[in-house]
Amino acid sequence: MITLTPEQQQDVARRFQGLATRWIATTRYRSNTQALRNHAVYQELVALGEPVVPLILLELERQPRVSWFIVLTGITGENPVPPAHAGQVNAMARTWIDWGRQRGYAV
Amino acid sequence: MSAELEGAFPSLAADGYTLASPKTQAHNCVAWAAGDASRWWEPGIFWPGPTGDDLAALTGLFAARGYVPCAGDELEAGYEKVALYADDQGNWTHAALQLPDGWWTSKLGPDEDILHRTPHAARRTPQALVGELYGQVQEFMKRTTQPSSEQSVGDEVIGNGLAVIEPERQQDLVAPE
Repeated sequence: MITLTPEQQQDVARRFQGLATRWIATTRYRSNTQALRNHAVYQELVALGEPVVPLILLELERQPRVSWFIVLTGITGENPVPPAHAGQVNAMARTWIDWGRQRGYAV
Repeated sequence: MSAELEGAFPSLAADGYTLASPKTQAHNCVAWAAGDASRWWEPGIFWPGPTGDDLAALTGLFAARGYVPCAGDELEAGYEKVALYADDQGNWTHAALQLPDGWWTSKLGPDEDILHRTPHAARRTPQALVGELYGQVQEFMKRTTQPSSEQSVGDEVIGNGLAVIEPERQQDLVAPE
């Protein structure tokens, strides 16, 4: 896990909030979020890397959105969702949040 | 009526539509058209069909559910139809299901589901969602109405567990000028 200074954390959080707002607007009305992997906002979110994982998990805890799953997988290279929960958005969000807690993220 | 919705889909207001249910993240358009309101159907999430982002993945999914390509959007007794949309990059974007009365039902990603049509009462096409977001309708597919998915609502039998528009509710529809 990457350790950031408080100033770096604030900068990452500020950049993330701007991108998160744009990502939610971009994915509104869309069912095929996987097709947005080349989208500039997706690319910028993934480029922020591991420091934004806990911020995304907090977003999922606040309101589960499918569009965050692709970003989490894009950053971490993982998909912890078991086949039994595939497609069940709330259960998928809980799985990701549990995954994050197991790895020590503050969620 | 929703100004945001009409901003995203400029043809909607002119063609006539109604909001049919509130926003939910639980399912999307493909799941809705397939009769499943409990899951989000998308490759990489849940997808009981050939994987991919392109239209072939979407047509393959509905083919696996018994649909075959058909010529157009006309209402055909004994058949249920889906309209499949793709953007100019070839990525599938949307699926709409035709109801027994000829209206089309669409779940708009993580947002509302709507009932829509065109102004021509005799030809209720799914063109109202065509545009920048969803691209064009690229394929129509049909299958015989599935007895197992039918249920009775009042005097009418509908497919996929979806509600038909009741006469009182039709008065609330956004009618074209």
